[in-house]
Amino acid sequence: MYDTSYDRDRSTGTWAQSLSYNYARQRLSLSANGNYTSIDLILNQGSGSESGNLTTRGSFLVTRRWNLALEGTFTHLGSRDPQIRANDRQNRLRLSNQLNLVSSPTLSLQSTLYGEIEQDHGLTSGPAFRTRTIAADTIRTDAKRDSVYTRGPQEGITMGARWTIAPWMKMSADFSGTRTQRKISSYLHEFGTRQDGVRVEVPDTQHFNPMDGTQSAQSQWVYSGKRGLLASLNMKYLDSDQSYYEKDLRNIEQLGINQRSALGHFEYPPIRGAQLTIDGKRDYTLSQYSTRGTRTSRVTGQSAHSSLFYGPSVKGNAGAEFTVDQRKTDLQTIGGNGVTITRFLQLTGMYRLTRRLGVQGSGSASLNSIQFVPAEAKADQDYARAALNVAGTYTISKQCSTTVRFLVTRGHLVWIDPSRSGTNSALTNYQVDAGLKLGVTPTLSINQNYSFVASYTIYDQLPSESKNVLNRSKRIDTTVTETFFSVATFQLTHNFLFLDSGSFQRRSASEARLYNVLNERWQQALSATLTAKPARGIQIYISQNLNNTRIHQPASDLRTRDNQWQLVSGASVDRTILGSASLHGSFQRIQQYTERQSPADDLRESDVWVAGVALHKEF
Amino acid sequence: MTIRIEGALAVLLLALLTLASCGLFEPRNPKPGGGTIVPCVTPNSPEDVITNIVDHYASDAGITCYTSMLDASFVFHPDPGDSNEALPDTVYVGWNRDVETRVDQNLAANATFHQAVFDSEYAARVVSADGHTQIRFYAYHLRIRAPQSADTLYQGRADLTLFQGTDTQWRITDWADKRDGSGLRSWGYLRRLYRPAGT
Repeated sequence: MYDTSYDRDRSTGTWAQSLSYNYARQRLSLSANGNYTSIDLILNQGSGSESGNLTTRGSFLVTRRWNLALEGTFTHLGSRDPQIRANDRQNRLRLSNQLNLVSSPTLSLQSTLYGEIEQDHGLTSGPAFRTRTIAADTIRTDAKRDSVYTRGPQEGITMGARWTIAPWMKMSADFSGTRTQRKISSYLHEFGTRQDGVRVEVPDTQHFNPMDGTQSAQSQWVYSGKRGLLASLNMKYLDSDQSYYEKDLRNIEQLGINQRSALGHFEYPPIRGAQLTIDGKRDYTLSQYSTRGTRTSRVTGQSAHSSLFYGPSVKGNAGAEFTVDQRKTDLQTIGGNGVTITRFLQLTGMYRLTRRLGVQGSGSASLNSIQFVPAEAKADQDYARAALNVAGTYTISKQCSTTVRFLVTRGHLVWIDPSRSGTNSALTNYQVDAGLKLGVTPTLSINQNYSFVASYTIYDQLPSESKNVLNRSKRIDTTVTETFFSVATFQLTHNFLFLDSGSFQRRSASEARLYNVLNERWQQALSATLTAKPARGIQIYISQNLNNTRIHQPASDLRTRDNQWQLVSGASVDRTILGSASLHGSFQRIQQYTERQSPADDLRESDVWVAGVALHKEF
Repeated sequence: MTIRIEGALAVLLLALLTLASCGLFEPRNPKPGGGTIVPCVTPNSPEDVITNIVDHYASDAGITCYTSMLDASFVFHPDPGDSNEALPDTVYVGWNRDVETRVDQNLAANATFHQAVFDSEYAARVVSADGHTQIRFYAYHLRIRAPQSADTLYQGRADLTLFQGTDTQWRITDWADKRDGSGLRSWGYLRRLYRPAGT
């Protein structure tokens, strides 16, 4: 199977290819999978990247329980810009030996032993801005060639067991371990000019022989009780040491990861139509970096989630969920050590009052509290949020329905330390949305959505009263669609948005807050689109758009107007060719300019082509 | 046994109110005092978002403002060269709003001097037909003295996708960082030095 596609938009040209091949006979199977992607950054001339991967695999079933496999993987990543070129290649060749030790309906035991040869090469060339000492002279280097080779064998073992202890109890366990002995060599060549004008090369070679390894294990127990009761416990463990060359710091980086987690799950239907679920989790992750110690961190977390859903009939349902999560982070040298606590509660419900009228509602409350260690306590903050959402839908017919929604949200951000608590504020949003769907005739339909929003930002502290802000908006989106005999569609869209904003403050403590409009803004977009399907799998369209923005500042009576015209035309093809191949292609041309406000203004014209073509072929 | 749906809704509502009223969702009280306030412009236009980035990036008092300019779906994309250079460390993977917030906090706590400047737009803007999405192509430079890096000048290009949400405010959904061919380190390189493991 072969796929290829080329996409070009305003900033990027992307060519992607993939090929896959599979062959299977009684004991032998062969497969090959490859992909290659090349990206050209059109607006950054000379910049781009390539990436490719080729994997081939052959396996042979020696006996019913013994399988031998040989797998080779080649990966390439490259990037370039006018100054810097980087290439990274990885080669892997693995021979694995899989044994099915036990295979019965209640017990299966599987083991795989493998050996792998690894070879990596990273090469970067580009400018260098360093001061180096050679012999008795000091020079400033201006270019470099940085090459890092990594090679070595890896051995590994994986084991897996599945055991049905009883019809109501199942257990599984997996273990894997690897050991790698690598040789890492760094060859850095920097180039500079001596004071006497002679070009010199400054070589720097380093060799490392790190020993790496990984052990991981996981175990799961599942209990299936009567009347839909299900309980499970899943435990995981990972201990890993991986080394690589850190080019910035010219040293070997050893990353040690230690992870442990336990996850418990319980679900039970207490009554018909209801479901109770409880989950609990504890986890621990330690990431230690030997060279770039600033990335070291330890995270300990525990969380619990419970939910109850009740839906006895299609007439209505109700649900509630509650989540608590606590994560402690430490050992970070660049900050961020402390505890984060999250609590979240949500209630949802739906009820159909009549065949045509239904109401839905939801309410939620949450708290996110970040409590840093005393040395970083000035970054302590709490964020509390509450939301209430009520909506009603009235359906007159399939062609005609209306929806009304009322939404209130309140978010309160509290910095605890006095150095930041001046910005503590509450943002309250009131929003009313309404939607109308009207099928005037079988071919003519109208969709209209209305939205009215008022957002109040009220600062907690009295000295910050003058910063209080009110934003209001009205939004009306209208779409009229006419379909002509299913070969063509005409769509007219109008988007209207008005927003104003200004201060919302009281002049004295006893007075009510007053709104003082500082800025008014109108945004309108009018779009007319004609789409036609002249033949099966072919679509052409043309769209004329006008974006209009007007701004008024009442205090100075300053008015501005901005009209942007846009013409979008394009076509797409989606067809089967040559029997089993399919071709999908599309192109789009976007021409736009902004009307001048004075003769000296730039038109800000642009003419953009966006195109893509994809071919899929099965052999 | 079955329960009427009206009864179930009433019980759940009662449970919600009970839990909410026992202080589980109450923020802590700030310590006495109260520092200075740094104005954060309401992002009613893409220009407001840019103003807030310039004024508040890597600033101790501007963390709230900077991170409020990032959409919940925010993703940062490094230059392919920076990503390649970091290998086999996959430090750029999963760079969302939480990671960006953490990195900004670390930079703010660590940097002794910072100045972010969007110098120019190196290509014409792309505006969606409905006017609610814009892609802007900025050339930037950044001066930061931060102990994790020997460099103090960073330069490159930032392709920002800005989206106007249902609350009518603009936020950044995608930030694609690019080297500019000058050989100077990019903003993305600086960012990766301040991302701890496990975030």
